Amino acid sequence: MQLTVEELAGGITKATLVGRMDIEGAQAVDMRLNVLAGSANKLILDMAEVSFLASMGLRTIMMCARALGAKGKTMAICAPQPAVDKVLRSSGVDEVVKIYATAGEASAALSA
Amino acid sequence: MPSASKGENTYRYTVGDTLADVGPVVLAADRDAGLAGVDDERRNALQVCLEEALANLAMHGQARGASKDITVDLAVLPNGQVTMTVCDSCVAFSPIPAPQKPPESDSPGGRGIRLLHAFSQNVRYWTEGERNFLEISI
Repeated sequence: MQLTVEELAGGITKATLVGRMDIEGAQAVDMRLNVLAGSANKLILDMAEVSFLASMGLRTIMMCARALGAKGKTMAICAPQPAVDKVLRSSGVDEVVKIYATAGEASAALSA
Repeated sequence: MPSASKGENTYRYTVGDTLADVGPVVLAADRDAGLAGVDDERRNALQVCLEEALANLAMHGQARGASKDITVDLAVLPNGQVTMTVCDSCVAFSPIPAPQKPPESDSPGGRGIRLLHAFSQNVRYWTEGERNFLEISI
């Protein structure tokens, strides 16, 4: 799994994930997402290129969201593929982290 | 590869005790299900449920002997339905009645059990002697 980071206007950090967020994928990005959770003010997780998500990937996402939330900072997820979106919603992650259809919508929401 | 075909569209996988052993088995089961004609939606559900069940055993299963002795039996039925039976020799722990995290909780764990139920048609758990069985129908 690959992770690239981009700084957007308005103090927003966008982290783009590419690949399978299975056990190996989650372990590959765990540390970097932890670091981002410590430094970002507003974080967008772009999941458009994530082809698979299961329980260990959810754990990684929730740990990141929890670390940001504990400091009063915000996180959003954008553009998940249908199979990934179903995992996010059926596990209740969408009740904690807002999910947007596009990176633009997520960016607009975090800028508001 | 961690699989051995038992017969037409039935497969058995032997799984090691650690988290690192889970991924190759999930991928092998997905590959075999694909070759047996299972559609993409069921294959995704198969992987989600199998990762959850095996990761749970790797992280929380308490072996009664030297090994957790985990096997997975996969059967693809003529109608495309998939049945997986995860068998282990750990101290018995049923995931079925486990309390589920409320959606508003931001706790990182505990969501996998909800996935198991959301992505399967039926889940059964039982024990025979010192062997535990988790049967997941998709």
